[in-house]
Amino acid sequence: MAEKYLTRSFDPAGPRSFKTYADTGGYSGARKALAEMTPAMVMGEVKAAHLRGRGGAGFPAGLKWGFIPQASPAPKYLCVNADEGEPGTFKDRYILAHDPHLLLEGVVIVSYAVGIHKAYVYVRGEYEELARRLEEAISEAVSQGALGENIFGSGFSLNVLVHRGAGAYICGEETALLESLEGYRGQPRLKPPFPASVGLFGNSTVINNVETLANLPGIILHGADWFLGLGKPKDGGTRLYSVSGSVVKPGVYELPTGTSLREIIFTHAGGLAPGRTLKAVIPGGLSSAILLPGEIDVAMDCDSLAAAGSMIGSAGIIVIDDGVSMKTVLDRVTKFYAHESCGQCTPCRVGTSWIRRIVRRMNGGGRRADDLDRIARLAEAMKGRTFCPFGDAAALPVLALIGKFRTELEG
Amino acid sequence: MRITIDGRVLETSGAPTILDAARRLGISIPTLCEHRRLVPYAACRICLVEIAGRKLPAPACATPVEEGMEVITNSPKIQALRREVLDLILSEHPSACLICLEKENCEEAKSMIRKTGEPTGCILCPADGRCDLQKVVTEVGLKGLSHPMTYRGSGVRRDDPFIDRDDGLCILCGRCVRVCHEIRGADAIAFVARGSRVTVGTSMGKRLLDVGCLFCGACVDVCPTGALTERAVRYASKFEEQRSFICGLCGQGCRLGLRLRGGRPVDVRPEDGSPNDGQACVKGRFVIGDLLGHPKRFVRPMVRRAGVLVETSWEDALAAAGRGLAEHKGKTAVVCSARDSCEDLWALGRLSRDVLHASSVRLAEDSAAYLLGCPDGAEIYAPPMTVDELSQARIFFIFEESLHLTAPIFGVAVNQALLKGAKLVLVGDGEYCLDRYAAVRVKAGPAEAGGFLTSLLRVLINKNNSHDRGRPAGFESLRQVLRTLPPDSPTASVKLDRIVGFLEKRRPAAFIFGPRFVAGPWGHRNAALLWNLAGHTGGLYVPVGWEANARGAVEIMAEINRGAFPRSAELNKPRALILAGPDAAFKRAGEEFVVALDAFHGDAAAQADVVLPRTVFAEQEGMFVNAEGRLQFSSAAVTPAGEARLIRSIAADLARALGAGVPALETRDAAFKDLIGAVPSLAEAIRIVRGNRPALIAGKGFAAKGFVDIPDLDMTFDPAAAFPLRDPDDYLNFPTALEIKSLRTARRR
Repeated sequence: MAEKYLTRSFDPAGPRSFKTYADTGGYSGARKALAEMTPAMVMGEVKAAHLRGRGGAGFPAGLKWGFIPQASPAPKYLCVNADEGEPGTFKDRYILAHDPHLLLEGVVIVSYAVGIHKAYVYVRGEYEELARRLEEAISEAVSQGALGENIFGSGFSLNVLVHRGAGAYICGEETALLESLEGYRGQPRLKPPFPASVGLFGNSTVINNVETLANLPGIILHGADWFLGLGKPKDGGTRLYSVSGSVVKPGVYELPTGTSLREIIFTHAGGLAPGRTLKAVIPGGLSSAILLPGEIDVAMDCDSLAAAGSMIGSAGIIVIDDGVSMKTVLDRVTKFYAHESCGQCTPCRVGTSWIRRIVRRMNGGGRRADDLDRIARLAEAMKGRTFCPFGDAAALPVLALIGKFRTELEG
Repeated sequence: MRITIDGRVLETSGAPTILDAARRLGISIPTLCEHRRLVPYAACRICLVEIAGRKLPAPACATPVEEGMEVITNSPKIQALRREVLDLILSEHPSACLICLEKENCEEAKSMIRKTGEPTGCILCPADGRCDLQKVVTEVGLKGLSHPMTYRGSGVRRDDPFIDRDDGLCILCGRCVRVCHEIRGADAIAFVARGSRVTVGTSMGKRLLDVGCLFCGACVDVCPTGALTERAVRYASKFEEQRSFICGLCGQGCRLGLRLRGGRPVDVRPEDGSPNDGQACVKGRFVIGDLLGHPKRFVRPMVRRAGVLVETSWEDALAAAGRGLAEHKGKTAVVCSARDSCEDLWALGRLSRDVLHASSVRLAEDSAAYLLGCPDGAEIYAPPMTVDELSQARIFFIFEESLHLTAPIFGVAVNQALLKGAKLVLVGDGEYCLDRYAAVRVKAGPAEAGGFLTSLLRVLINKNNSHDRGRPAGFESLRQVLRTLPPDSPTASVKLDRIVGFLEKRRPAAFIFGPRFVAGPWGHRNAALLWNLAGHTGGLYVPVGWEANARGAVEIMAEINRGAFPRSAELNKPRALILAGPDAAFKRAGEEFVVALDAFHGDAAAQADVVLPRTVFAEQEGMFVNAEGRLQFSSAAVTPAGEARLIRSIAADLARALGAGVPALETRDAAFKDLIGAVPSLAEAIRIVRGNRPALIAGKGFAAKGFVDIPDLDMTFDPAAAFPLRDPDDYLNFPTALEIKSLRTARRR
């Protein structure tokens, strides 16, 4: 079995305390960064490791930090995106539940590299218990000198605050997250300016996913080459794959980036229940295009999946077997996006609601001949024309479903 | 920068958006959520354009131009895209008329039927003919709709005064929400819910009245459809023309446009440019139409016969007034109003001084704000200041809690500064909507605030830090005086330190105060303290007059009352009175003869012997000086009600009736020439107007005057002895907004 880093010591009994985490080598990455490295060296190491964002867009983290103006005297902020809302994705909650200190160590490292003294963790509203555990971990870390003033005697200070969302999918979009954090309605902002220049409270802001930051201690401790060696040359490290749906052993699996989808489903997740055959797989959370059984020999990394016409997104794998009607899938997908659209821009607000209404009528027995074409036209009218990526996220799965399962949907 | 739009090249500087650049080239791009005063929002997606080298279409309203950018605004792809977006918008909006084949015939046949509960098409919509969506549909050329129209069916909300809200017509462009936040700072309305259920609403669905709405009407002005409408206009006809005038309901001098149909007012819209730049307030926006045709207007002169006021002709009334006043020449008092134009005040002043030899001429209102609290002062204290400068201030000291009502445009400037991070120190004893913006709240009314100001001044002067501008006159003596006072309490010191901390980091400061604060026995002290504070911190000293011409009236009164004016002690008790100003507390006490020049039935007119109906602001032309000191000329937007005459004409008529016509008052031009010949500060400002710069009258500034002595420093005031402070609305003596609201409710029923 391949090397595990993120989940190497997940304890089913509950979150690890500061002591057990530190005893198993925890915070040595942060200690090393603070004691032996300059911020530029930390940033250089992460850039060299080519750590790609685990939230969905797959943007290289080191590059993202590089956009932060270093000379400015204004405060800079870090927002940890723990608003894990993508259906089929439940990896961040494992880190928060089992190893909150792993995240906090990553937070210290990125804050040191960029020069941040205040970090916010935006936790999904439904993760009430996890937010509480995280707050406990933070106060523990502060009492042990791993957070707060003068961390590990290095003179570097960092305060971490937990902010709970109120249950909106859109707040996982980074600028909507900032709006929500500032106390406004969760609606995306115009870009440019990007959060790196004008972000939280008008200041430069780094926004990273929980899993992305959890990779940092390893990169600092073992170096960029170790990290790249775990995965693929342009897309290093391991990834947490959330597998759900018609598999025998659903759950979160830590595997190298680029593991094939077939291997994840059949080797690690135990394959399908006896007597079932594979019908389709959604590879990267609900927003990614669905794959047919013939397409699952694809490697699970950003570039290979993009080449296959889908995307890795948040690596939330939803397995669908022959017992599931694609009409139900379409119903579920369209219901979700119609419910979660923030309603700011026209194509998304009206488009998702029309698609939803048509699907409901179809499934209610009132099907008309041109319904699927009408849905496809509405989805095309959303794609690439909405204010934020939500429109694409809503349109792509619908278009893929219609493209690949038209006969079943029409039947 | 050089960019190409549809093959046409534009050289630009700065960083305009593609939309700005296209407009400069005369290329039309349809827009809905865009508004030139608001931050780009890019939500309607109707303005999407193609940019060479970019995969996705970009919103023209929010994309800044870049060097060498090539933009295509009208390719078949873009046109199709616009039709699709519009198709989606119209599936949520009553649109039957927009694409109906019988549209043109229908418009002829049914022109004005709008008395339905909810519009189902343009014909029934209050915004028919002034709707941006109609224009965009025409421009984009939509021929058919691909979705059935869905009604939101939430009904028209009519539980607020003045404004009707109809969600069924809303296209969620967010202009109203943004203007309420970005420009007015009221944040009364916001988006509610999400997805297809999103609407513009209030916190917890409450009425606007209950969520801090000030009914400024800005949301109605920017609404592109009929979703937000003025109730009175909802059932009115379309207007035919718009005439500009200066609002006379407060001291801000807003430029408003009165929209008329057949010579009758339909509604009022704020106009662009200084000082109000497209903004107004509840009074200017919703009240003026009803004010002009108010049932309580005097339309004919009246004379008291056998104890009863009876209508009569002008000749008769003037003869009666002339007879009465002739008996008391030299023993007549004249009360003017700072609401009236410079010409009117000057005419009354000349009549009093040169014909009646009146025992006194005074303003009904308190002009202490400009005189450092001394009503007899000849020096006018009002350093130059504009709304723009005010919005640049970084810390505000406001001694006028109802600023948003008494000085709405200053209120807008303050809000915009606060949004940009300025701090507010609010001093007052009531509760008002400014409370929520205040960084420091000092609970002290006009009587108690003197103590706060003294302590603040003492702390600042004792620090005497780097802000030392060569020790202006009076500095040392002021410091000596302040030293003798007892020290502050510890709690007061904490608050003062915080304020001083703000003052050290933020400049300039602005000290805004209204008449309420500098009138009364403590007024002189408050005004002097404010003057010294503003001077010492290099801040703006901003007296806010409540009346349309408060600033001009002070100049004219100073001139009229100068020197040669005959006064003698035994004339203190006037025998006759000309009442041309509002005097809510007027009680006839021994005057043998009272002439009232009034526009509305009221207590003062009820006690008069002769009532001469006068015009109000929108009915007459004249020169006004607003609270900034800005000189403005208003024109007559409507014809006077009934037989009402201008104050200037009435003064000339009275002079003739008294057998001593004043040639200088016979025509407006003559009166104007006479006026600027006599008042040098006005003459100087007029010269600037002709030079096409903003004409501001400036009074004494701190540089010239230095510190002033603080009177009554050790005097303790008894708040219970406060003289009855009048409400700003009562002060105007116009029928109040509340009364008009009840009228509207009655009319609706």
